[in-house]
Amino acid sequence: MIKDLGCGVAGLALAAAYYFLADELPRSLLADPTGADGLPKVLAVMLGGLSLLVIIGALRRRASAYQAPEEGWLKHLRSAGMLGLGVAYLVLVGWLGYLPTIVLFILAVALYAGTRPGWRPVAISAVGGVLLWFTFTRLFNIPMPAGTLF
Amino acid sequence: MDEIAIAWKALTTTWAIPAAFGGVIWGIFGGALPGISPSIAMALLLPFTYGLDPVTSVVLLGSVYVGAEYGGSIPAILIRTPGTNASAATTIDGYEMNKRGQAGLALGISLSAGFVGGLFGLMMLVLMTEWLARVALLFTPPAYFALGVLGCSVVAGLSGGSVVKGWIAGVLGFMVATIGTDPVSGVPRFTFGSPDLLGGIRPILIMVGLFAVSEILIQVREPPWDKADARDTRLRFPDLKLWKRLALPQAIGGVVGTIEGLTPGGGGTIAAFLAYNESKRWSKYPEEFGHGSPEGVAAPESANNVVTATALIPLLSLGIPGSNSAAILLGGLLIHGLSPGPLLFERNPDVAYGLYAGLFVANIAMFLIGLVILTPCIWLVNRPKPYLLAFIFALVVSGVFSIDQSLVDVGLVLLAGVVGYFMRWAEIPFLPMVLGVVLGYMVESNFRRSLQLSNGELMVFLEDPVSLGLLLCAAALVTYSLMRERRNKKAETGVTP
Repeated sequence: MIKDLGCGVAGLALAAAYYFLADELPRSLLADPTGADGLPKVLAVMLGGLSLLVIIGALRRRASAYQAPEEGWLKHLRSAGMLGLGVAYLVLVGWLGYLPTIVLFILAVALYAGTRPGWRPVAISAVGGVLLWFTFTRLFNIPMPAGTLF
Repeated sequence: MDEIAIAWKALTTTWAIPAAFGGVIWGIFGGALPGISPSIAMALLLPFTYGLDPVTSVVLLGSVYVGAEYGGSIPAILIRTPGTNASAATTIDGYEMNKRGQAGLALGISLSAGFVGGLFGLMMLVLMTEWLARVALLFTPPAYFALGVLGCSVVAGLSGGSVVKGWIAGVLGFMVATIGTDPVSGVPRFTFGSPDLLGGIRPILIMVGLFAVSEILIQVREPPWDKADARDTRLRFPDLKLWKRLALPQAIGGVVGTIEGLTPGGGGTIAAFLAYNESKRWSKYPEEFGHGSPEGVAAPESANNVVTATALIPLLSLGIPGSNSAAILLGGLLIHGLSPGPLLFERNPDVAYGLYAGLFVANIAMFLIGLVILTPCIWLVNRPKPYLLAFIFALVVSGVFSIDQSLVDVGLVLLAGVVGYFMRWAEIPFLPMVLGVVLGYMVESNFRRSLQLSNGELMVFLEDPVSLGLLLCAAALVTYSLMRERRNKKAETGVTP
């Protein structure tokens, strides 16, 4: 039930925000009768209505049947940590440049995912990072992010 | 004959043949890794196709799909863990055969049934796609709008458990499609002043985020999968007597795979289980099913390999992706500015016929590579999961940047990954969202163009016979899906105490 309630409430909030933003869109002299805000407003109303249906369905099922146990929040925190590493890559790559960042990124993800610290993960990350750098920049001639430091 | 000449030229003047072999290898490895579905294996390669010519690009992606379906059966048979959803049915008898010391034979049946199924599916693809595409050539703007609506009506059938959640996903996809410059007035919408968003969000970013990043976020919290035993796994093909016995389940797999491939939302998983059930029903030895029946391996493997080709029929003829993997292939076409659908055969016959020829090569490649790849596959499945996750994540952030050399794209993919993670948690299906992202522009621009041409008369959509026919089909599809959901719910209520 928590899943459906969460889904419904998030959907309602998104629908409201999206409708507000659609209403703020500037009017153009070239606009047709539907306008740039026509479809977005219809979508916002649809999302709001569908979210309400999900909420009503969740409330109606409340206590009426067996509820599957919800996942522990620690699991979500673990996933959030992984996402944090992705964000850290985004921040660091503009500063350190591609090669050092991707090596650090592979190492950090491997350690976070459960590899024991030591020389082995460091060596594997270095080899893997250089391999990726070589594939993109030398093999495919794709310029990868340059850092301000390197 | 012209078509064969075009296909031959496309195959021999591009890197399509190496791409078919490379794609199959990548697909088998991807499919063999539990958690990496064919669509994820394809999505990981999608950014790399940007620098390739269109023929090589679509052949590469199509070949990954072909390879992944066989790859999925390897852990299904060896460690009772299906590498792909579609190979779940193979686990039932494949693993039982492994326990009896017949892993090599099970893998041989899987490879040969997949090869035959793949070729049969390809034949269906060639026979049916262009015929459907010719019908679609009669389309006008109202008909294109109606086609988009028909595509959206498929959402109800793609929703898994809940039609309402499927629609929510579809609406979310449409919302993403509205980001960027308005197709009629040129007003920037939902760009928050960022020039990076003026051109809209590429569907590829949404696909990679939804499929690949969300899977990484899920896998990091799951325990490692079992190790595969490399002993006694020498590939062995069935003898003539067994071949004769396997002919019927393979034929059943062919028919079921064709129907399910054509049905949007059907896909390899449903096809595999249906083929398994039907084979059991028609078998002379139904009692062996579940205890290591070779027919129980041949039927699902044949069916899910047929689907690799037939799932492309609605995509190539009408531009509607009916499965996750077809949606990724659509992303590959869009990257090169190609619109799948009726005009593909008119404007880019080399791509369409090149894909046919490439899939033919891919099936042969799957058979040849399948003979030798087992040992490296077992090695890969036995690698520590943390390193696999690290390299896949590194590949995602690097590959996405390489498309437009934009870190904003990398950020958007991570954001799409979070959305995908939430959707998995809330049990909202992905495919309707992808459909919304892909069809959103077509629906909106053709709706508004039609109204402009008819001076605002909504009747234009009913006066055009093609549009009317498609809208009626859409209404029928939605009604059928709602009735089916209602029936399923009633059945569930009847079972639940």
